[in-house]
Amino acid sequence: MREQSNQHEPTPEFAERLESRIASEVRRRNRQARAPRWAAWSPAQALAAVVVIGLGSAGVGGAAVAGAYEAQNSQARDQLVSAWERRADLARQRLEMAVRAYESAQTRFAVGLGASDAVLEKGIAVADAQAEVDLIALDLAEIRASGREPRPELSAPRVSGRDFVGERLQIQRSMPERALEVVRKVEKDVQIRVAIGTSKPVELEVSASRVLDAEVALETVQEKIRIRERFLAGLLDAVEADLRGLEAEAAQRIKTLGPKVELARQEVGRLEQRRQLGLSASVDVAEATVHRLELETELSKAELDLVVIRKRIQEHRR
Amino acid sequence: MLSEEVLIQVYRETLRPLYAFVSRRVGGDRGLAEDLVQETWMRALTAWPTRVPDDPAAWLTQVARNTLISHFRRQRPELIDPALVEVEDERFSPVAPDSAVIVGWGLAQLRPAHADLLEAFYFDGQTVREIAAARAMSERAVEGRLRRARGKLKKVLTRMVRRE
Repeated sequence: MREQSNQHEPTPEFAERLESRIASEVRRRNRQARAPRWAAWSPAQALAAVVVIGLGSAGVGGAAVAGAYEAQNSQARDQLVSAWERRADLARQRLEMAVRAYESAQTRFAVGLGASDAVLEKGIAVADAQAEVDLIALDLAEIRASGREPRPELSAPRVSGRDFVGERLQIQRSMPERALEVVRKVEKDVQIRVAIGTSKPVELEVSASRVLDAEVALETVQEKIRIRERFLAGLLDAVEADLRGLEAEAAQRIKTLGPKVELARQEVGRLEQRRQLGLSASVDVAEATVHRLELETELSKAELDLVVIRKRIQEHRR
Repeated sequence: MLSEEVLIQVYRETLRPLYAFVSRRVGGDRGLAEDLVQETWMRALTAWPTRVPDDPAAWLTQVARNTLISHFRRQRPELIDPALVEVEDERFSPVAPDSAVIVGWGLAQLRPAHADLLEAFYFDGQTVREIAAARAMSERAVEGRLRRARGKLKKVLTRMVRRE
């Protein structure tokens, strides 16, 4: 073996800090695991227990230590809350702007200056901005309940009996649901325009690709909701739940990139034909080719990711 | 319930090798190594609700590896200087944080077979002989595979330089 340097040694401060964090995390989890027994007690028993614990703590001076510890936790929590409140403010401002843009698009459409597509698109933007506001509000609730940053992973534990991950997924589901509704309407309009010759057939393929994007995004969120439910039911362990989530995301990328690659190939062919007729410049063909290559690379990467993740799942199960 | 004493014992026994494993892969960047080791342990606590697995060190190493891959897939290096990553040069070693991060990012994009071999060579400091012995292969076969793996890594990094 080649010589190892002590730059790869943990510092004593880090070792102590992490040990203390692990110990307090284990104690917290063990306290939570014990909690249901308290719930079964009568109010009188619970009150008696609280009095005994309170007197005991006061007797040994533990209350002072607990108070200092609590103050430290409370300070960290306040800092997080303040950071997330700033995000919430920004999200609310974005929502207000999206609502104004939507109203303006509606007005333009009403007086015959704008297209119905634009109104629908702005409607999606409003729904997305609203979902963002709701997600940040949920993050804030999680921070207040747990005192730490929100944990979005599928294997994150419940916080005070509340499933924040599941609630977040329900909000995320509303985004592709709304988008799907809109892109389907747009697709119908495009079909009519192509049939009467006011739009090119390629627009139909673009709009079909957007419908597919929304459908696949919705399927992915639904799959994540199922994974989360199985994790909470104890049918999946944490590692497999997270890997299954990554698997769903990689599969989503493959499903949405396939049609885009096909569209990009057609676009290169179309521009090449136009270039031969002197209607397009070589640089347009080169740009379209680069775009196609980028999409193909992304697709290959997604396929590779999926294989790796599935292998990891198999290895984990063994 | 998980015993605090048992867990702290496991923590003390595994911290140094786990930290070294992560630190070598991030070129000794302390802040990043500490974040990733902490994330690994937080995942362990979630995954071990009642008992510690039979081989916690192996478990932690595997989770740390996945955590590193996730990190490098999320965090694309901002700038790749080709001079920092002459991976086809046999004397190249990613000891500095910049080159380790670039190589770590590149390995996260490779097939596991190639990535594992390069990881053992670059980050675990294993010689060709040690790699061959651990995998029941001839030294010549390992050299060939290392050469091909370096070529793949070079391709991934070159593609990224072009996309900058």
